[in-house]
Amino acid sequence: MSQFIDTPVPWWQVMAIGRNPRTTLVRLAITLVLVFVGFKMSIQPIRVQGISMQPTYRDGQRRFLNKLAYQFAPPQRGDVIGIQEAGKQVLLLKRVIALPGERLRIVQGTVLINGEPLEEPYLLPPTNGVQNPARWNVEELRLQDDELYVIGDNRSMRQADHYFGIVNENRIVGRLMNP
Amino acid sequence: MIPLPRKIWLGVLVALAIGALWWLIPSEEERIQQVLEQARASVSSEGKPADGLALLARVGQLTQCLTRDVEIQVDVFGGLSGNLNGVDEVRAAAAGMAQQFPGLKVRLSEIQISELMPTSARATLVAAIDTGSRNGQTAQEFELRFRKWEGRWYISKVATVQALRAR
Repeated sequence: MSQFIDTPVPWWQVMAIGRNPRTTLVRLAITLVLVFVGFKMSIQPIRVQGISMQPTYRDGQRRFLNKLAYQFAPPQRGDVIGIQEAGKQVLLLKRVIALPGERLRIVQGTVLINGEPLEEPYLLPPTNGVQNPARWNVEELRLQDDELYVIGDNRSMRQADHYFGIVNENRIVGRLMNP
Repeated sequence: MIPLPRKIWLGVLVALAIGALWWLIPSEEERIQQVLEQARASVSSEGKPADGLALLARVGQLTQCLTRDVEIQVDVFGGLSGNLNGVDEVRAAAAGMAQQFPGLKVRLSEIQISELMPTSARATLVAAIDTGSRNGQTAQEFELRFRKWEGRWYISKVATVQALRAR
């Protein structure tokens, strides 16, 4: 007749690797896989390149995109979003200023949404009362149901040098975390 | 060992032959991918000689992938823009580009073939372009149209895809 003697496991071993190291290892592996898959599915690290989002984001800064942000709610005005520019790796970082169905116009640097001036606290403080020293102009346009209007925060650069405009919702990758 | 009836052996052989043919004969997507790879290889200089016969051979390799009336519309924000119409214009532009960027490297990724019909197809892809100079790396999404002629696929249209548009 065999007899099993249940030797007590030292407390430090229980703290470090649990009562059964094999079970702990399996649990750890499953957790790591779940965390990795969850991270890949929901978060995308990005590195800001260029000056179009200054002063809010500077060249070389590292940030994260929440890829699940728009699964249950549509984009909001003021959101900073990642837009698929060339495949899944090269993204544009822009701010949403107009939503589907809205009318947009930019007059001498002032953004008008449905005829009303848009308050943009994220821009540089006005210089001599002018919010946008480059005085950009965009003729009135109306967005379709699946379109947003996006633009960078750096309005001090020449309009011709700044890439902005209408984006289709299907090109949005996610919303910037910790704006 | 139990001897199998001849009919079963024949059936197995026929199945194997069909499997081998299916494996050996490329699908339409694979044929299109081969055309893309040929075009990519001919555009990429990657240190290959860019003069005389070698250049002619590479340009010739490129034009073999294109229809006579190929249309290329390039519009990269802050970069290249312009249209090329017909294989002769593309030939001249390709030769000029090879001489201007002797270290040009092109890599294609995220190739998606859609709207595959018996004689036409559409594809989107991302081209990572490295001109070999400092800050000469860029990536651009393209949309391509293909036409099939006498069993071979040809590129009939190339256009840059813009993430944003003015209106």
